[in-house]
Amino acid sequence: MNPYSRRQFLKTLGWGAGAAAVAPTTLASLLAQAGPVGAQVAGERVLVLVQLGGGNDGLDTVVPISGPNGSAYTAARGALARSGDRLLPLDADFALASELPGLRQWWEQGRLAVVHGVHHERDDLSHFSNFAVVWAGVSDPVSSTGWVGRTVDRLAPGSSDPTLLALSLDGAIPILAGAEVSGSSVTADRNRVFGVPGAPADPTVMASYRALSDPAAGDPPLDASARAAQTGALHVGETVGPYLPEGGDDSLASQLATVATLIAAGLPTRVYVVTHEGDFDVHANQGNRQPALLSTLDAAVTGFFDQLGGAAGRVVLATYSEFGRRAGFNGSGTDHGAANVWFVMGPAVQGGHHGAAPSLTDLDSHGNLRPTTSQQSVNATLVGSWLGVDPAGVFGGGVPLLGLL
Amino acid sequence: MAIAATHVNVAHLLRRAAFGGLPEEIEAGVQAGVEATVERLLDWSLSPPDTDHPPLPDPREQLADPGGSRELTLELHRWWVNRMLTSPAPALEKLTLFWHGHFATSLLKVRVHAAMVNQNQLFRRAGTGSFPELTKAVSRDPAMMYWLDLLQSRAGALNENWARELLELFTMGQNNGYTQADVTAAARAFTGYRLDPANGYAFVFVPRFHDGGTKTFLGVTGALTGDDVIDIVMARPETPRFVASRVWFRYASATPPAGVLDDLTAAFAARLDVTDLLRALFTHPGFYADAVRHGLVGQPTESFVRLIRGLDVPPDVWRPAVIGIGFLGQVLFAPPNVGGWGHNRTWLATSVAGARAILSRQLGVWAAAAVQGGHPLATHLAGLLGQPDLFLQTLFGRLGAVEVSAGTADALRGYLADSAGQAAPRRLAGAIHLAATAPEVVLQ
Repeated sequence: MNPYSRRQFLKTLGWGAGAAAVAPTTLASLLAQAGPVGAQVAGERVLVLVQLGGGNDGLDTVVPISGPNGSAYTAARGALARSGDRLLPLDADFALASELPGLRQWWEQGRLAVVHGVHHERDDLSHFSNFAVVWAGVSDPVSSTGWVGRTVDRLAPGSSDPTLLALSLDGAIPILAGAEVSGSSVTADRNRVFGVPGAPADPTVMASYRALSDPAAGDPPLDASARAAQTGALHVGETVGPYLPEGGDDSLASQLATVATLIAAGLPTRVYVVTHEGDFDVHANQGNRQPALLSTLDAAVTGFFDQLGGAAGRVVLATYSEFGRRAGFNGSGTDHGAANVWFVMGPAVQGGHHGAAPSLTDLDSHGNLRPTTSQQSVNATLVGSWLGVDPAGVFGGGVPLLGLL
Repeated sequence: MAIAATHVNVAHLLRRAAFGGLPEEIEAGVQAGVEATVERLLDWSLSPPDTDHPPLPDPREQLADPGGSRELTLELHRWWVNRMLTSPAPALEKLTLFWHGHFATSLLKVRVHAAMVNQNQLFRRAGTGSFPELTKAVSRDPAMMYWLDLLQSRAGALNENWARELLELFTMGQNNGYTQADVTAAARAFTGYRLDPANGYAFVFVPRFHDGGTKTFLGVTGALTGDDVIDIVMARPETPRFVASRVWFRYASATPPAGVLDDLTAAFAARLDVTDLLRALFTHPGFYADAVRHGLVGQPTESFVRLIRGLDVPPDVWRPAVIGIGFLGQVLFAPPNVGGWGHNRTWLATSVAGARAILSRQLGVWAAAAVQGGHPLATHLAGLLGQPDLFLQTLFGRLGAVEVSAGTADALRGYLADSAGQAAPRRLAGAIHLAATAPEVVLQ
């Protein structure tokens, strides 16, 4: 199969532009088809991770509306505080931002888990070290592996195609790096370069290309990695390439639509990583930016499960961000913080509140929410309770699991 | 201790300090010696004026209509890539690219192309001399001020973004001798920095937004201003060491040997002069070690420029294709975040490798047509196909690889044997497709 002439290949298949049209379905009927929580899942389980880059503001996503926390929120957030029809109540104590009506439906069906107070113990407010920790899944940000990569290392022995066990739809992310096998990455398809559409690859060239990419004795490490990268690209291109959309739409919705297509096509991928196209680092102009970011998220993730249809029961989707944001309003937005709210959703998920909500009347010395739940606990639960890999091998022993699945 | 003027060493110097040397340039460097080649590279006076950029819209227009002009962004790519290809001082373009990644600022938030060009010109103008002066100029750069929210910050409503990244990414290194309290104190010192729309959005200091109170920053107490903060930072020993390590990271390899970093730090700390640092780097024996020569994967811009230059691709062909750099994962004027672009493993991800394979194939397709069009280099290469070893030596030499591994050579010889019955243009296309993805060419 020729990976470099996707347009011709797709024409041969009679592939139309974009994802297949999906019959409308209600969430209730989707969940009825998937079965109750804990029901036997037919087919391999898939985890979809949604990266919200920049530090999503948990307090402007899941809002405390009662008691001392509710009062402290209103006082701390000033003009930014949500009230009235900018809130969708979950229960007496918390509400979702009004831009998340789809997630609210999932909550009402009991399949949206809101995990409170998520963070790690590093105490700095830097995107880079926090991202490094989020990706590494351990406290040491200088780790050369990511937790998805280490999970892939452990899934690889039982897999006929280890290179495809984890796949990013938005380019390479360090979370994919494993010690033995790493996840692969693709970006939205763009095969017009030099103004010339892809020409069919010359079979004589491709045979030598494989020879060139084979490991060579005496290669210094980076040279060896460069060869391996070409081999990996060849394989991923041949397998995943035909399903990538034409036109280069990088949005979260488009990435998730491609994930749904790949799941339906029967790819052996167990972990997908997708990236929200927006910047959650709302130091400024949060009042305008956050609603748009959340609307996009809500539409994309709910649309994704709709598209999955009968396969939805095999999929758990979780959001993550490198940190939350500060309790106080800086006059235009909020600055880097600590503890955050993460979502985990899917037909198999035990919905409801997980983890203790941080106290807004007992902030740390920077004015940040104190963590109550470690990121490792969330990730270890996804790895252990959903993917069936022993979390001790990925995160070390003794990480408490949550009752999410 | 003189560095041996071998082809390997001179080719390495030209690839790292600039964008690679053509065979005649490497030969000239071998004849002149490494020190003389370094001095020529560091002769900034050879750089042509950089006011010949494409016409830019008025900032007010762009701020009013932030739809963004993709075509203008591509035109700016073409402008800068053209300088990398043709400037008699390519090391200055490489240094400008370094500062662009170091003080990383993105058009995607700044939205005003004129501001990004202005910043690019600042790096070229002020990036070769005093690092303290460069940093002060960057603190007043309109694109940077907008990018790190300095325009938002005022007494009583601090925005700490600029202060944090100044310490963490630009000068001292993360958590390397400062605390969160210092970040807050620095943020207070930098309040009052604004831009004046009535004066072409030039920097203006607005006292009523400034926190003129007493602050303590890195142990120094006073009514500190932004320039005071920078002076204090520049007096810290962490600063020259961190900046030297970043220069090593982009020019040499992931991690410097400790002794080498000590030497470079000492050379830089003497005057905090950037040219001093580069000279020390390019004349240090450690820079020419095997691990360093095999220590960097080419950034997409570097790879693109080396391929275009090596194959003598004409402007009417490479200009439309400059978007290839973005496909490889690097959009000039738009680094992914304030930490700049990725490094090494980033450029070996499957998505990048796939894009590189497509770009390489398309270069081959061009070359085949170029033979038929009478392009001198393409015709010359096609004519060498009957002598496989000479052909490979010439092709890889043009692509900047003086040494070729057995693994790569065997694969290419295998291709030439298998394709022996095919027409020359087609064989040339295949050879270029393969050679451009070989590790010897992918590594910088």
